[in-house]
Amino acid sequence: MWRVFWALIAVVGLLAGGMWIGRIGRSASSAVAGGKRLRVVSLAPSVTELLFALGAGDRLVGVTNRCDYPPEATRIERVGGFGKPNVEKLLALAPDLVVIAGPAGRDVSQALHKSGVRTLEVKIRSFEEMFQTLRQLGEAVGMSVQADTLIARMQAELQAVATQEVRGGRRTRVFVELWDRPLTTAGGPSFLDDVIERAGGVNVAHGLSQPHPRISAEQVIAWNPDVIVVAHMAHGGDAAEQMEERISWADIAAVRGQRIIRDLPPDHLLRPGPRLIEGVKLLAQRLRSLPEIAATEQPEERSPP
Amino acid sequence: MMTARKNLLLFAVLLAALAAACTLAVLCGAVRVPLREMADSSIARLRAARVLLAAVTGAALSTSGVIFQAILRNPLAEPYVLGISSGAGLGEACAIVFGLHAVGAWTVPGMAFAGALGTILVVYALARTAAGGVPAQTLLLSGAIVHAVLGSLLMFLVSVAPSEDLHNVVWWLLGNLQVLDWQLLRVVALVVVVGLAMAFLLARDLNLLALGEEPAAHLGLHVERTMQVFFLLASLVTGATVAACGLIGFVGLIVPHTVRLMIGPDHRRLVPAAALSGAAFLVLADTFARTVMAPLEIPIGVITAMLGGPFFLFLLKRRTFAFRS
Repeated sequence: MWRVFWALIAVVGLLAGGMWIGRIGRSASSAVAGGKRLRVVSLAPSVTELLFALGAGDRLVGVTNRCDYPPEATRIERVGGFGKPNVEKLLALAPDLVVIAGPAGRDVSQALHKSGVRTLEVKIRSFEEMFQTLRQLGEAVGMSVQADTLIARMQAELQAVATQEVRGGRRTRVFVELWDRPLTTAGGPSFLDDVIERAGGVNVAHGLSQPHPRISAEQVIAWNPDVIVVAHMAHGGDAAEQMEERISWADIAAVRGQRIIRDLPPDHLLRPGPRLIEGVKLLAQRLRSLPEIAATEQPEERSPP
Repeated sequence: MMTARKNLLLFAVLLAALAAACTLAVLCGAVRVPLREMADSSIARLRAARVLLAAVTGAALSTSGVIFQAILRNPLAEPYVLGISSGAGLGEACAIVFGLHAVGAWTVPGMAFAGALGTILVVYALARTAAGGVPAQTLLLSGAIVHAVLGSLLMFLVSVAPSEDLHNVVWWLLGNLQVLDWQLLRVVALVVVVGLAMAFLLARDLNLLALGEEPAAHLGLHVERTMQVFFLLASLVTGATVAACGLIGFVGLIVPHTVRLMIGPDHRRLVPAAALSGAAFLVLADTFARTVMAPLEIPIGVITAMLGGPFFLFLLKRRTFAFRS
């Protein structure tokens, strides 16, 4: 009788223990495909950063040669350039999921479909789309809970920046220079437009419907921005002096008042990944700490005909 | 007497056309400036600088087109035919990749200019025969090959470079007459004005060269020396414009042919007439490029080909080709 009782206890104990261990095992690699860990290939630096931020960096078996952040990403196998992966190499990694973003496009997606590889195409052009992408990624790798937590944290951080008061009651008017030969800026549909908005500024090129329009220099003079953000790696060092030398640019409020921001890390502003939150914070901080914009310097804007 | 008066009339008309084009170009732009404020407007100043660059570039490209067509005796020759374009592109890309832009703003156009001239010198050295001659066919061929090799190097750099900045080199190569500072404009204008003045003074020799190397030699021309001088002149002025505004196709091809079709192949008239027409044409084309979708700018090469191509075909259908006097 006692023997049967002890045996039963042992069986129940073993079952419970087994279930408990099993649960741990499952939550550690929750998306086990046939007992092995999900193998993911990312075809964009932004997606790689998002996966690492999510805590799913260990699922990555392939990245592009542009994926340089976080440092661990550089140790992962490379499957080619951003937007032009080597499909053979990609397939050799036997991925369960390939995440495609940016210019990789339909061709890669179709080639992979034929080989029976699951793909996920994402578009990240705003913070909303970035959160959406995080949700999709979380679902795909079985980390939805973590994704929701991360999104909530990011939203809280953005909210914290947004509630800081706007100085002088007027939003700072910002012009972003992405390149100077030819003069290129960030238009309304660009991520940078969203970053500037959330950092408490307003993008003077918001009304343009191209993400990266090439524009006339005279338009910049007419916009008369309070602040110029130089977001390219070249010419960074002497951008301020250089802008004073540009024909008629000394008339621009930002140049006259020496309000040229040129030392923000470009990846924090340009790469549509989790570091953009940091970019928003940095930009907001810089916009607030700039020399006072005098009341007499109210910019007058001439609109295009 | 008759020809002198005709020449006077021709150049009066061309100068008036250039003046009209420049006036229009300063009045139009992305931003509306009231006429009253025009004289004291910073935007008008910026536009004037740009119009100056367009005029200088147009004159340089058409004249060097005339020169290349004459010394290579090939109607398809144009300023970029010998690989200047990819040499300049590679120079610009290298300046960005190796971080030279940190040294100063002038380094990027400076490297583009160095790339352009270096390419031309290599092409010339490759085409030169042991006897000292430079056959036109060999020059064209070695130019085409060097162009292809440098072009592939440029695309290699653009595709492997970690910096997104390099992608802008491709945009720059499409041509843009945006001018940001006087310094570059001054240097380019000086090089072009000196180059064009020399080409005008030596234009008679172009007539002889266009006959062919042998007849020219029989007429007492030092063929190789003359070819070298013109080769260097055309390359210098083209290189200067490429460094300032990238590649602007078609101007160097259609303006020389159009002018030749209208006034005949005498280079003493052709060189100055092509310079003035090229200047007026590019000023107008640029006005179009920066106003039609303002404040966006369309690459100028798109406009020159779209406006110039059909017009040239129209002329070609109506008149017969005359290449030498």
